[in-house]
Amino acid sequence: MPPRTAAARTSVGGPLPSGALTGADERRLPRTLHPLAWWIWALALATAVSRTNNPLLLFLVLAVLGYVIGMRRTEAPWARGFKYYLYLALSVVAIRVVFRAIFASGVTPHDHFLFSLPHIPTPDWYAGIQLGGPVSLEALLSAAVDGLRLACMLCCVGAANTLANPKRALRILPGALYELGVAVTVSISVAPQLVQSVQRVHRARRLRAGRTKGLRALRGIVVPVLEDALERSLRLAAAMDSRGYGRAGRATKTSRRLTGALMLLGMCGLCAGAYGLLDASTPKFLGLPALAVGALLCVAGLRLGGRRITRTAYRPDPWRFEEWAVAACGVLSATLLFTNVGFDAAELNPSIYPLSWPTLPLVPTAAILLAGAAGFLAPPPLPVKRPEKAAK
Amino acid sequence: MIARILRGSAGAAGALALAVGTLGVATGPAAAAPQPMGQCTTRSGAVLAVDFSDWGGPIMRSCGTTPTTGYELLNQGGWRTTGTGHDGPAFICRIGYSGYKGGKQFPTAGQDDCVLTPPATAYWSYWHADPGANTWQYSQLGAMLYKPKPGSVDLWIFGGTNIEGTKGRPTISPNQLRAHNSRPTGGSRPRTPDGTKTAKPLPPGTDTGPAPERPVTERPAPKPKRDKDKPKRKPKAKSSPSPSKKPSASPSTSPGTGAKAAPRPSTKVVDAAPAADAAHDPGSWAPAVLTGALVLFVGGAGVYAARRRRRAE
Amino acid sequence: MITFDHVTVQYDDTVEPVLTDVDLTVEEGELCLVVGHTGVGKSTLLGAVNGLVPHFTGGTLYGTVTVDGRDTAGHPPRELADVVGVVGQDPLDGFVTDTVEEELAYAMEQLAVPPATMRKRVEETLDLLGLADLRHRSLHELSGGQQQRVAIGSVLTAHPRVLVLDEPTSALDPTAAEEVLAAITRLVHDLGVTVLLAEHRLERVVQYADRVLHLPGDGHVVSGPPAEIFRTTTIAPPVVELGRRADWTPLPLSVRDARRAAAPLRTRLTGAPIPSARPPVPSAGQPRLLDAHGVSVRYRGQAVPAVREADVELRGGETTALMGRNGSGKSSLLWALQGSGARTDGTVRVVPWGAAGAGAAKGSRDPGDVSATEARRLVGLVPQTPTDLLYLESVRQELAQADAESAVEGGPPAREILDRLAPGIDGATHPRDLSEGQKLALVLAIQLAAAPGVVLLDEPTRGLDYRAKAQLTAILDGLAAEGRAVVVSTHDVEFVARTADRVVVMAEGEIVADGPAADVIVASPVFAPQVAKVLAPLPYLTVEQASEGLAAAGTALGVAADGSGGR
Repeated sequence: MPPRTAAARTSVGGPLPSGALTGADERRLPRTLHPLAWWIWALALATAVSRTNNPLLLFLVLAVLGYVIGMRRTEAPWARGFKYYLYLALSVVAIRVVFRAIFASGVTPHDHFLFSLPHIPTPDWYAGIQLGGPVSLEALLSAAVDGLRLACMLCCVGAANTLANPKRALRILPGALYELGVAVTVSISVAPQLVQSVQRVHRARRLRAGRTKGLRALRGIVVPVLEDALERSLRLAAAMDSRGYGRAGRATKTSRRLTGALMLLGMCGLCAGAYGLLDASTPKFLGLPALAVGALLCVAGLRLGGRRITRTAYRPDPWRFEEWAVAACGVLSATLLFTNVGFDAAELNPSIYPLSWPTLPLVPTAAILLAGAAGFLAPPPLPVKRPEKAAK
Repeated sequence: MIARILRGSAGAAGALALAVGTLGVATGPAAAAPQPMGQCTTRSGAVLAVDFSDWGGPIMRSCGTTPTTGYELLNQGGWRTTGTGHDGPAFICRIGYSGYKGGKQFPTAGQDDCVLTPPATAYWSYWHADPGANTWQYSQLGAMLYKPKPGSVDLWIFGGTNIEGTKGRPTISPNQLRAHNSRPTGGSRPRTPDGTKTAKPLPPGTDTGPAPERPVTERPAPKPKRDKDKPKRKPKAKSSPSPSKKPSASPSTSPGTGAKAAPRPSTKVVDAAPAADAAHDPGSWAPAVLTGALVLFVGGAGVYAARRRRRAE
Repeated sequence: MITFDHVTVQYDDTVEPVLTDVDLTVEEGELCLVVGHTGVGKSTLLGAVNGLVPHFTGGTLYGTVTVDGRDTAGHPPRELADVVGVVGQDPLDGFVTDTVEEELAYAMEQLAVPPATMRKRVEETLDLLGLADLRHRSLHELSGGQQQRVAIGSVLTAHPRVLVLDEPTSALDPTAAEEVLAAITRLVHDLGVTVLLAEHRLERVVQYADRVLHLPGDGHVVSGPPAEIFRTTTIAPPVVELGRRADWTPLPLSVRDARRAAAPLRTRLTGAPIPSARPPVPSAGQPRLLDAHGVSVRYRGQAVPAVREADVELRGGETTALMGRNGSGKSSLLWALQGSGARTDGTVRVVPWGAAGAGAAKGSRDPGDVSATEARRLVGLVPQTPTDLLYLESVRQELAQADAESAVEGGPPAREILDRLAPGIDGATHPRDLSEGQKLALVLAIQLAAAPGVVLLDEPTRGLDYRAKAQLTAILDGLAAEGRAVVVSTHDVEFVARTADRVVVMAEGEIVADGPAADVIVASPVFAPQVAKVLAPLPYLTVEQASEGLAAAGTALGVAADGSGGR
């Protein structure tokens, strides 16, 4: 983002919102962190989360996410979505608990019995699944913890979306995937227009005294909206074409074929590698080696395909020390949790059967708190001027 | 809570009767009792065998009364299991016996975190052998749903299986494990050691199959012998005793039992007598409180920063 | 700069070629105006310049089109992006990104302009088009004029030698259109960009044009200087028409030139009785069909009401124009009067048509309280996007559906109404294939099938050319003559001058002026039609009116002007 113009600065209402920033931040130049840095940080933290079922650590991760978001979030529209990720996370936990209660996973004699749901007998051939029956505290707790882990991972992704502008994030896609990014961007901006179109047509239905509800009304609404959307997309395509979208680069026919072959082989390699890693019964060479070769081919394909399109980026995000620091925070935290050094792996997954208080192992705690350091390592974000409400 | 009231009740059978009597539930909760190995015969009791050879241990076996479930058989007399976070306790992810390595459960947390369903290449597979049969059947039911027949053998082995069931079959035969005496030998029942948690009545509504068909033999329970020269084990295992390479930490061993044509001749069969559960330490609540404080501090700092920024903008 | 060499364009679905044997040259730095009725191939001509025709649209192009030395046959539009910039009608259709700055940079990114150059050009373009304050704004928050300026800026950053604009102001209100046209002329004068411009509202651009390409409709293109071409064209702005009738030479193209030439005409007209611009309305005898008091509309979540305490009174036989800038509440008021839109406060009473007469006020009803079927028998509304109402495969089906929906006993069927409004529309045609004017007529016919006494049209003149507007005027005059009350919201002052008896001006949701058309628009610098500007202070609105005035004064317009014209 650019240095603010004088006009924009005064509209913020002060020399700079320095009052908002803590001491050290005041001296730092606000700028937007490279979106890739936030994504690496968040995905690494999500990876770390996948390692543990310890509710204490999971809550700590949530707190750290909250801290970093509180410190480095802007007021841009796309940055206001974290609460929806929280709602989603909560519903994940709730769904997990309810499912565990309904699809009884069995009650052991040692459990703390809570209540009993009506038991629905299942036929023999379906004996693997039980519906209803007694529900124990342990079952619910283990479901809740399991859900919490998933919820935490969701929140990590949500944090990345809150901290990094999704549209800028799409721009870092390699050249060969550029079309994908454009498709997403265009659909994001077209979606609100489609909603408006639907509202307009729905309102217009009354003018013809047509039905506004039911299946028959649907035709009267869908047909004009879709025709409208189709015409608009054709005009958009023409406009993009006229503005140079999809200009041929230096690619020749051979290089295009080579790109295709490389990508195909690379994808095969990635698939085989993933399969080999997950299924231990496959030959050894299908695991990491295939994955590595596949990744290599894919990278080569993307590089070659990227040359097809000659394009430059307007105001490319720089990658500086802060980006390295934020990404390193996340990666280090995940690495610490995976190395098992300095703590017992059992502490990451405390037992629910029998119930016992989870412990707070020192190294993982430190690792998660370390990820939180991104909150002050990242530069303060640029204040966003709030758009005035368009009176319409 | 009935379960809590009845906790610590000594006689499992008595407790069962009591529970059935007091609750009057149609499907009476079944509770199995741990028995010394000698109490299992060709027609009564179910033999439980668990193969610890992956961790250099023996095949441990013990005896439980029927009716029971595979799960109960595996959670009495010092045996404990752990389920997975994803599937609950019914999926047996870890098995431990208080008499083997201090009740440590295997696989260890480092080998499998028991959060998701373990891979098909390394898990506890469950095998049955019906009374008299000398072939293993891969269990089509989970441990909580399967009800061993009197005189049958349940075997848990660690490793991998394939879908056809041709790979990963047990190398030991049912006959090497099952009881061959037609009448109970040795002490009929162990005097329940203090703190032993025998199976408690299950909460109402648990589907545990039909009610007991025959009364459980109530006999004064002599203390199980823990020395090597145990009373007559009637039909001794036909196999030649295989010398144990590693002395097991088991409380009672049966030297006369071993694998016949086992590819792993080192695997010994060791009788596991009913024992007290490994002590369970519920742990301290201090870390939880500490975490709460940390969460409040870190989260609070974030909220504070966001508030200040918003006010300034 | 641009050369068409024996160009013929033939689309697959038409028998006649759209363009036939076109030969023309546009020199560097010219502002070239493309003139013609709808459907004569203006868009095809413009599209051929950057290769959209035939690369994108299909069809066959014979001959060669050369732009800056590049043949469009070998260069698809994307390869010409650095030479030709194209701006369409609706700026929103062409936006790829979501903020002003990114949109300006988009074309340069495609052309692989180095980042440092890009940065500089964006800043320059922001200043050139006066967009600097809006740089971080979301494109959808901008007003229409601002959006169109961004669209122009977004092609300018690529530094094209040619700018092609296809009706860039047709979706804008007069102020916004002025803003955009000012920007375009500045580009021509300051940067020497060659501009090809198609525009319906000739009165705004004709004075700036260096060359006019006239498409008479037979596939040919006539090229020449404006003063020469407009002598014979079938369409011309009012100021040119006045000049043609007065036979002024050289033909004045701007109000300024015409005003200087019109001094003798003004003297001659002074003192003469002023004929009415509109057929007389027997308003005294006409009943009040709609009576609205204190109508307010406020949408949820918006602090400022869209309409504030508006009082409206509509009489049968009268055509009212509703004017005001975009967002001044015109649409909201129309929708509220029809009863389908939101109404926060106020009363609306409508007398059913035909029930008028003594004691009619008793039978009056509020269209907001009755069912939708009832409401459309009271008030018919043609929305801004008429196609929102069309969803069937053919005109015939739409009309049949309209008859089924309205179910008015004894009323004429919708087909009959349509034939009266716009004769000769084939029943098998798909509604989307009709021209804008025909679509409007179809929707109007559908709404008239319910026989409403009050007819409201929300911006019907969008995208209509002079001929279509004249037809619309005739249609609306017909409706008024039947005793209906007609309301048209529009930005088009020339249309208002010909069509409206009364003008209501809205600003910020309030009615700021309400009176006879001549009184309201002649005095206004923004709303005054060209003839009024030329003949001020005389309250003449249209060319016909001026002709009549002179006839009444005893001299023909042409004769009067003959002496003063210096022939």
